Amino acid sequence: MVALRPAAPGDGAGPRHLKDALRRWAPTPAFGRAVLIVGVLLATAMLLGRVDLVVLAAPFAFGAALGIWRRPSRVPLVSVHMGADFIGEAGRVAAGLSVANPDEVRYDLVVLRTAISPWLVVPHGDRPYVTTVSPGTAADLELRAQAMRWGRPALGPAVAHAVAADGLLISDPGTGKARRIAVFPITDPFTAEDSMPRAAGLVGVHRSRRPGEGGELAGVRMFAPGDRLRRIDWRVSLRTRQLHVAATLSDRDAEVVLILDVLHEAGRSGGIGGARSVLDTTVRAAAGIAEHYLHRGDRVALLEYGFRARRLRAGSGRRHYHTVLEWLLGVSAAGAGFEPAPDAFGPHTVSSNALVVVLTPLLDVRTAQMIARFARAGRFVVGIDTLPTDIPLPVRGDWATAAARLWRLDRTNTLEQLREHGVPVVAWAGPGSLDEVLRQVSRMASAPKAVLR
Amino acid sequence: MRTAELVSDLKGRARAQVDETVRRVRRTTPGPLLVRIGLFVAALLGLVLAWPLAVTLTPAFFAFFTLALLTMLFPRGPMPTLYLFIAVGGWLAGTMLLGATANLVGLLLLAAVLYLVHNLAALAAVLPYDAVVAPGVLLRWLGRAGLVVGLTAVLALFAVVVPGFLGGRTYLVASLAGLAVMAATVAYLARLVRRR
Repeated sequence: MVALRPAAPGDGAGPRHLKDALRRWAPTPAFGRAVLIVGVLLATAMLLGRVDLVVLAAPFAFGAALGIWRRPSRVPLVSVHMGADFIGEAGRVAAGLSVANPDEVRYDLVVLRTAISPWLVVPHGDRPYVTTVSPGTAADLELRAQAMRWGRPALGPAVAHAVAADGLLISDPGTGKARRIAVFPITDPFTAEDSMPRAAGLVGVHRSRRPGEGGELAGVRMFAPGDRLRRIDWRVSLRTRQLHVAATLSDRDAEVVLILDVLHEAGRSGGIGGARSVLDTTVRAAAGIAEHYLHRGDRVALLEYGFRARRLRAGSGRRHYHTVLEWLLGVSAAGAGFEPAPDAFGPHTVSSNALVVVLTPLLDVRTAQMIARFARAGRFVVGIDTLPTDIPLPVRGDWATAAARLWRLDRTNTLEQLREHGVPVVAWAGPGSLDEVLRQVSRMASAPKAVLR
Repeated sequence: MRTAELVSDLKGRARAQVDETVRRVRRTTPGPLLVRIGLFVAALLGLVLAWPLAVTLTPAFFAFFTLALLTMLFPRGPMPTLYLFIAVGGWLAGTMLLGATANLVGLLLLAAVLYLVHNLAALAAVLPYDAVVAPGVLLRWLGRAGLVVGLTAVLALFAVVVPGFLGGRTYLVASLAGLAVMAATVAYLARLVRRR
């Protein structure tokens, strides 16, 4: 009778011969020591005729023999669990490591370690864990993680080494893949009372500066052909003996384009509740602004000013807000050696009616040039200064203070030049940050413009 | 100027080394610490048992202490092997040159303690100093060591009592056969070690 080899892999029974087992298990220095001691003691016992040396060698030989007689041949299986797919900054999530013994022999012990992202705080997570694992079972280690900063921090990869044969054999590492969790930024509270400079359509919830069908009362005026009868203000009409209608401002939607300057990271991030770096302010402010305008029914697009030129198309609604948050998690500082592609950031990429909000620390002249290009093309641009006010400057000599002052003067000069171009720049201050500058931009948008004919 | 920089550099390195040591000591957990302490005690006891009392009660005791300390501090290197050879050498010197008398209990104790040193050194070598050790790991480990020591006791009784009933010729044949088996086993194990 012919024994057929199964087409599918078997039940995973490992190699039973020591030579095969040692492909996945390495002898430790203790193994060599035991062999050496047994060999030398027995040889000396033979040469000197000393039976006591045989007794001294016996436990080493017995220990090695017992260990190797029943030895595991398979490496431990490791997995990493995360209790949720996403949380907010400062949120806590249950996590866990699991190490399983697929062999038929018990591991003497398993040393389990895991890598942890810096912004994921896991109490005692940086320590190795040592446990025993019975055959066919798994040992679970429950952890509690707290996310300290937005991003996609990872727990893992986890590595486990099993030890068998009383410390004579150690396994190759069993590894568990890292599990990432989306940590959404805590949105900075943001409100803007002033209207948008220009709307893109006649639907939406924005009150515009133009008269039309809407819910916001603009005043009472004389009836004119074309006015709807339900707009007639009967009380005023009876008092004045002439038909009057309630005039309203049209409701409109608008498009907001948030450009995130990620050319440089500055400042040291302290996570939630700590100091803020440029990217911290940029991401949290962008999340707050996007939440505000999306809640009002506007369309929000995002653009990363860096060599990657990531872009999120304009959209509206709650689903788009979640997309914005997901998109923001991928924000990272661009490498210094890369140049943003000029074509990717031209005014043609943004609708002429859109409000362009640039979140920038203004540390690079290229950003100022990009903003100036938008302004010259007639776009409504508002700058938000994201540079931390308390950013420490390196002090390495007597000239450092003077150099720092010169740098600050140069930056102030850039800000003033942008204002001269009609680009108001304000420091990020949460609610009402943009009210003043939006008012300026709206005033400029409604002002008469000289046109060449 | 160069000397001052050198001194400053050395000071900085020393301070960093001290800081690192303090950090490691602070991170040390009870489980691995217990194993290391057990290794030290077993190593010191092994030397006291191996060498005659006349040697132990001299300043050589400080050398024993140092040797046990080094074995405890460096279980991953060659120190445990060196320790075992020194202990066995002491046993041989005591019984062959210094006229110490060997008895079964003392021999068994020494064999058990030397194996415990080897066993604990193997454990300390794989146990990170800052590991969180699950309860039961150390007890199970020591239980297996106890089983090995028990088997050794049986063998010791057999090895000491049985030769009295055998003639000299039979004893020689058994010895030669044992030597051949031992050589084959050691060669096989040594080849496996070299394969890695």
